[in-house]
Amino acid sequence: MKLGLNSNNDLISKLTTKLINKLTRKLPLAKSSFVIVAFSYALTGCGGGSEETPTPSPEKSVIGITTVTELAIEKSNQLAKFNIQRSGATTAINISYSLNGSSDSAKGSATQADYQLIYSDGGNVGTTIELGENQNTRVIEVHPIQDNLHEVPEALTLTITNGTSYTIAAEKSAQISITDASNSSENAKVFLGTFSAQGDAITSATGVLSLILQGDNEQAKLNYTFSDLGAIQTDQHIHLAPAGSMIKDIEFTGTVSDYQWDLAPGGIFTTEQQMLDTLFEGKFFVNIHTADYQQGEISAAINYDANVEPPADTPITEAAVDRDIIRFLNQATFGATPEEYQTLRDKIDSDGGNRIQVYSAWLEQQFAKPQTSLLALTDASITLFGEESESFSRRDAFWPVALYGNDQLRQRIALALSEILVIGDNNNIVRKAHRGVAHYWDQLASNAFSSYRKTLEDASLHPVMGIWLSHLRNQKTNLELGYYPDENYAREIMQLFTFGLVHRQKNGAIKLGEDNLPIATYDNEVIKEMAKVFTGLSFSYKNNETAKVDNNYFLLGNATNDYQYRWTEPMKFFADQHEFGAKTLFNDNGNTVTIPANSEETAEEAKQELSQVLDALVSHQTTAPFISRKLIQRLVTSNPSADYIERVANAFGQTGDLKAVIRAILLDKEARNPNVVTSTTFGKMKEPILQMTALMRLFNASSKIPLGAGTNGLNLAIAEQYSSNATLLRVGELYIGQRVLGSPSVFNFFLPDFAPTGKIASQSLVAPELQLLTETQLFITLNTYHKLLSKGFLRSTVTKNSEYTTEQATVQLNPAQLTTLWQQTEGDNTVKATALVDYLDFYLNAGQLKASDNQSTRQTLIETLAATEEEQRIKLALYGASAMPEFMVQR
Amino acid sequence: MKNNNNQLSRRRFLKRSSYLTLGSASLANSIGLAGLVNSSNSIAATDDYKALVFVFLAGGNDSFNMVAPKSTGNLRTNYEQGRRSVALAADELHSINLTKNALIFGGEEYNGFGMHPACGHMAEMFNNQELSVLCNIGNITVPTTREQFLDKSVELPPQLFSHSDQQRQFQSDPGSKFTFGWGGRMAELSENYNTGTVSPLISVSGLNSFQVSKNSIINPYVMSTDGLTKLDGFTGDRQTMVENAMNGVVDNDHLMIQKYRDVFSSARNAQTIIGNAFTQADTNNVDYDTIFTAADANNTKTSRRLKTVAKMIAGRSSTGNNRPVFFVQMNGFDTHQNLLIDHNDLMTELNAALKGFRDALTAQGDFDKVLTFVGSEFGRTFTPNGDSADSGTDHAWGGHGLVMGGMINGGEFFGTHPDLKLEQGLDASTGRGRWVPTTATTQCAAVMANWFGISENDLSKLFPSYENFPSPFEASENLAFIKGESL
Repeated sequence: MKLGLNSNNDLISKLTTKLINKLTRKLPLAKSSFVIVAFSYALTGCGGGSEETPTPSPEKSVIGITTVTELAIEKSNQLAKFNIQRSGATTAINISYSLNGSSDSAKGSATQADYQLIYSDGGNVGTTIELGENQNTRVIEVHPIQDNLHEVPEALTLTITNGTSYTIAAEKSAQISITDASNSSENAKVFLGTFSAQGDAITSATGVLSLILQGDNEQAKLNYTFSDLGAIQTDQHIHLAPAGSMIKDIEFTGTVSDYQWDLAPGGIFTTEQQMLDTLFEGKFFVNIHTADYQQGEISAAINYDANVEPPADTPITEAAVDRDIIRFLNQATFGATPEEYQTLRDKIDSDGGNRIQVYSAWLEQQFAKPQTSLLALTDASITLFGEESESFSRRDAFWPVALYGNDQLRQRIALALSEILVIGDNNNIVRKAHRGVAHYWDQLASNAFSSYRKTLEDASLHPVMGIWLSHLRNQKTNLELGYYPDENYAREIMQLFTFGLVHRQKNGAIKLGEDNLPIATYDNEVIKEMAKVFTGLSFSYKNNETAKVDNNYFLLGNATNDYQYRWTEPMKFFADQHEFGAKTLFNDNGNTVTIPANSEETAEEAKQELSQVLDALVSHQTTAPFISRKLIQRLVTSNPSADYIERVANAFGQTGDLKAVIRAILLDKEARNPNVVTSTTFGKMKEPILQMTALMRLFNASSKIPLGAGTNGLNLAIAEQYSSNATLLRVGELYIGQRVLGSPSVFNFFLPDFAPTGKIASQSLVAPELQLLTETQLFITLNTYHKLLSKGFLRSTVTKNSEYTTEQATVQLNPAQLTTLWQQTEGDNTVKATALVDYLDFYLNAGQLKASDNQSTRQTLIETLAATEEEQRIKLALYGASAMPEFMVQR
Repeated sequence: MKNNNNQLSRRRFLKRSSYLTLGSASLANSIGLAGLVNSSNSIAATDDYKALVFVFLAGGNDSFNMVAPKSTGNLRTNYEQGRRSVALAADELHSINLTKNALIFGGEEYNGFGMHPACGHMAEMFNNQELSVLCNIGNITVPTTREQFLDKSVELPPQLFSHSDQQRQFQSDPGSKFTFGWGGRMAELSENYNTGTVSPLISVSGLNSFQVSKNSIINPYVMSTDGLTKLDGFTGDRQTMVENAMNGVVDNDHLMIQKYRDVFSSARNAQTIIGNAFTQADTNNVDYDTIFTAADANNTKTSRRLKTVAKMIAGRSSTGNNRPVFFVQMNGFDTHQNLLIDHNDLMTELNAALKGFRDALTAQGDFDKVLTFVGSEFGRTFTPNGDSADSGTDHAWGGHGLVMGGMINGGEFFGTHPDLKLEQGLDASTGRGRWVPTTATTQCAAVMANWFGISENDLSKLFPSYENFPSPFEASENLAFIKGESL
C-alpha cells in the first residue's frame, strides 16, 4: 500500500511540473483571459458605467449578441460567427466586451493564440466593437488559427460589457467552440496497441487494440480483443504509465467493440486537455485483470500512429439492407418469411431508403394488432380430442399461435416475458390447470405493450404463479403455533423478476461499495419482511357445479376440473390472513423502502400495500438495467454493450414502458448495425423453440385440420388473428431441450450469465442458450429434425382420441418454394444448388453464410446438393439448415 | 499458483485436441481407430480405480426430516417444538444403530436417531455400515457462529439462501469468485490417471458448476438418463455434408459456432467409446434391471441415471479413465409447500435409487471403489410456513449430507448435529431455525478428494478457503469417515 502511494505522489509531482511547462509553452488560458479582463475593465471604468441595471432610454442603443455559427474548425478553416444587434438610437458607438473560455474548468477554453476576430464586412475587431451610424447588425467572424496542436474543443464566450452610450439587452453573451477538425472519418486519428504479458505474468494470452479518436478530439472509440487468458477475467481498466494509476474502469468484462470513451478527466487529471496530451504521449494503457493476476495479466499501450488511415465510413449496401430486414424480422417475430420481407423491402424503397423509419412504423402496426388467444385455441382444440389430457391441447396450441398469429411481435415478447416471469408445467398442478396456464400466457401477451409494472402485478396475482412459487394460501405469522410466512415469492420477485442480487448502474455494471465489493440489494431479514406482503392471497373464484361463484374460503384446494374458474382470475387478499403492519424492505440508491402501518386491516389495504411494493420494485434503480439486459438477450444479443443496456434502461423508465423498451431494443444502432454479420461475438445462439419456429414458419408447417372454416376445420373465427392458411399443429412433445412454459425451475431454461468453458468464458462473454447444448441434447435435437423431415410431427394420443387419421393430423413442412426455385433457376446443378442454399441462408440466417469470410459450409452445402439424388435433395438441404453450425447463431 | 497456460505439455495439448476437434471423432468411427483406442486403454485398466459419484439434491433438501430424532429426549422435544405441522411421528421413523454416539452442539451426545419412513433401505445400509451422515454441513468461508452472523462480524458466503448461488458454492468453494468446481479441478489434478480420449467428467444431469475445470481443458461429457443417444439417419450424403461443415469451422468463425462444433465433435467421439463401455457392461453378467427393480427403483430418473453410472463404471476399460467424476442431479427439493407428501416421494425415489446403485456396484465388485456423496445446496427452515396439511419450509443453511461406499466408516454421524433450539445456539434467524453450519462443505469434500488421490498439500488448490478451517484430518473435527483415517 505505502509503496503505491509514494510512487503515485512522485508521479503527480513530476506530472505537475510537466504540465506547467506545457501550459506556459502553449500560451495558457490564465494569462490571456487576464489580459482581456483587465482590458475590458479599463474600458468600462473609463465610461463610468453604473452598476445598476440600466433602464432602456430612447437616446441610447440597446446592444445584444447571438451566435450565428457555433463551430469554428481549424483544419477546414470553417468560421464561427457572432452577430451583434442593436435597437434604439442609431448613432455610431463603440461597444465594450470581454472574452472568456468555458465556465467548466475541465473543458477547453480558447485563447488568443487560437483565433482572430474579424468583422464579416472587413477589418479586425479591436479593443471595442464598432457600430457605424445606422449600422444595426454586424457579424463578427471567429477565424481559427492553424497551430497543428492536438487540442480539445475550446469554448469562446463573447460578453457585452457596460458602456455609457448604450444599454445591454438580455442576450448579452454568446458562445462558440473551436475544434481541430470535423468528425468525418478521414479526420479520425488511429491509435494502436498489442496486448502482451503485464510485468512478470506468465501467460500465453495475446490481443490487439485500436482506438479511433474523432476529429474534434472529444471522444474516441476503443476496440480490442484478446484470448487465451490463463484464468477467468475479473476486470479491465485504462491506466496511466508508468506507475499504473487507474484512469477509467471499463464497466464490463470481455472483448470491447466500439466502446465510446469520452476522455473525461480521471485519475490524476483534471482537464480534458491533459487527457488528450497524455493520450498522444502514449501513456495510457489498457490492462486485463484475471483471477490469477489481480494486478493485470496482460496490457497494451495505446500509441498514436499517424501513418494508419482511419477506417472509411462505408455506406450501407442494398444487400446489407436486405440482410438487415431479415435480421430485424428474426429478432422481432418467430421467423422471417418472404411475404414479411417483401412488405418491408417495398416500404423501404418507397420511403427513400430510411429503413429505421420503416421498422418503426412496422412496430406501431404490430402494437395495434388484435391479440391471438392461446386460451381460445386451447378450448377449441380440447373439444376435438375427447378423452385426451387437456394439457396436451394446451401445449400444442402454442405452435399455431407462434407460426400463424398475425400479432407476431406481441407473441414474441410474450415468449421473452415468459422466460423472465417463469412458470413451469412440470409441476403437476400447473400442468393440470391448463386453462390457467393458457390464460397466464395470454396475460403476458396482453401486457406485452403495456408496462412492466402492470405485467409484474398481473403475474404476481395470477393463481398459477401462486401455486408455482407458493404464495397462494400464504398464511401470516403465528408464533403460538410456530409458523411463518412462506418466503418463496418474496425472494424470487426480487432476485429474478426485478432487480437481482446486487445494485447496478444504469448500464448494468455492478456498483461497488466502499469495500470494493458488490452491494447486496437485500438480506434474509428483508425477505422475511417481504414475505408478509404476499400473505393472505388465495383464489377469488371457484366453480359450483358449472357456475362460477365467489370463493370465501382461504384454504380452497387446487381442483383442476373442466371449468377452472379459480385458475383464470387473479388471486385476492383475505384480510384475516394478511400480515398487516409496517414493513422495512430493500434498499434503493441509499434509501430504505418502508411500508407504513396500514390504517385499516382490509383486503383493499392489503392490495394497496402490494401496489406500493410493486411500484418500489419496478422503479428500483437496478430493475431497469437488470430487466432491460434480459430482454435484449432474448431478442438481439447475448452480450449487449453497457451503452446499449443504458439506452434501453432509459426507455424502461420508472414503470417499465414496454413499447418504449421494444423500440429501444430493436431500433438501437447496435441491433441495427449491418456490420455484425462478420462479428465473432455479436448475436446469440438461437434458442431451440425459435430455431424450430423459424423453419416451420418459412416452410409453412401444417396439418390438414384448418383452424378456420373448411373440411375438418375447427371453425375458429380466425380472420383477424391468424393468417388464412393456419392449421392445427398437434406436434406433441418435441425433445429440443425447451418447451414454452415448461422450464424446470424459476431460473428459466438457461441462466443469463451462463458462459461455456473455452473461448467464450475466457473472453468474459456469455451464451445463455448454450447451457442447453450438451452432447446428448444436441443428438436428441438433431433426431427431432430428422423425425420432422422423415415422418413429420404428431402427438401419439391425437388419433386415438379423435376421428382424424394420421395423414390428416400429422404436421409436415411444405417446402414447395424450394422445388420451384430449383426448377426455375437456369443453369447447371451447381447454379441451382447455389440458389437453394442462398435462399435458406437468407431467410434463416440473414445471409450470414454468404457474407462470411469462411465459405466452406456454403460450398459444402452447394456441392452436396448439386450432386445428391433428386428425391433426397430438398430434405438434405433442410437437414443441413437444421444441423450445420453456421445456422445456429442469430447475429 | 503460476499460470501454466503456456506450459501445456504436449500430451495435454493432444488431449485437448481430442476433446475438441472433429478430426479424431470422425476417425474414431472407423473400426481401426476404435480398436486402437481399446488397446491403448488397456494400459490404464489396472486395479487402481476410484470413482466419485456426486448425487446432488437440487432445491434444498429438508434433511432434518431425512434424519430425525426418534428416541425420547431433549432433541426429540426440540424437534417437535420446532417442526410442528411438518414433524414426522417418532414411531414412523426407521431405527438406526449408531456405532458411536453423535455429538450434539452444546456438548450433549445422542444416539436415538431414525430415518425418514421412506428410507428403509438407507437405514439398512446405515446399519450395515455402508452409509454415514455428515451432520449440518453447509457453505461457510470461515468458522462461523450465530453471534457473529447476527452482529455481522464475520465474512459470509455471498447470497446465502439463494438457490443459484448456493448451488454454485456447494459445488465449488464459497470463499472465492466462482472459477471452477471441485469435481472439475479434481479431474485436472488427476490427469495422470485418466488416459482416455473421452472426458473423465461425466454428467447424466446436464451441465453443472461442479464439473467446471479451472483451465477449461477438460469439458464434462453429458449423457442422457439412460446413457447413450445415437444419431438417427446420419449416413451417406447427410453425414458427409454435416461432418465437412463441422470440419470447415475455423478460429475466425463466431465463437458460438465454434462451441457448437466442439460439442458435436465431443458427442461423435464419445458415441463410439461410450458405446463400447455399455457393450462391456452388458458382458459382466450383472442384471441391472433386475437389481434395480428389486430395489423398487427401475423407473425413476434418479435410479435410471445411477444405473447408467454403474454401467459406465463397469465398462471403464473402454474409456481409459481411472479417476472419473460423475454428476447426478435429482430435482424437486424446493418444498415450499406440501412438504410431508412431496418429501416422502423424494425420499422414496432417493432411497430406492441408492439401494439399486449399491446393489449393482456390489454385484459388479466395485462398491469399495466408488464413493457416493449425497448433498444439497442448503437445508430448510426448521419451522414451517403454515399449519395446513400442505405447508412447507423455506430456504435455510446447514443440512445433512450422506456418504456411501465400501471405503467409508459406516453407521456414524460425523461432525456436529444441531441442538435444534430456536433463537439460540445455531439459529441464524429470529425463530425460523436456519442452522449455522457446524462443518464447512469444503472440509468434507476435502476428505473425499484426499481419498480420490489429491494430496493434503494440494487440497487448497481445490478449495481456496481450505486453510481458513482446522484440518479436517484433525480428530477434533470428527470427520474421519474414510476407513483407515480414524484417529
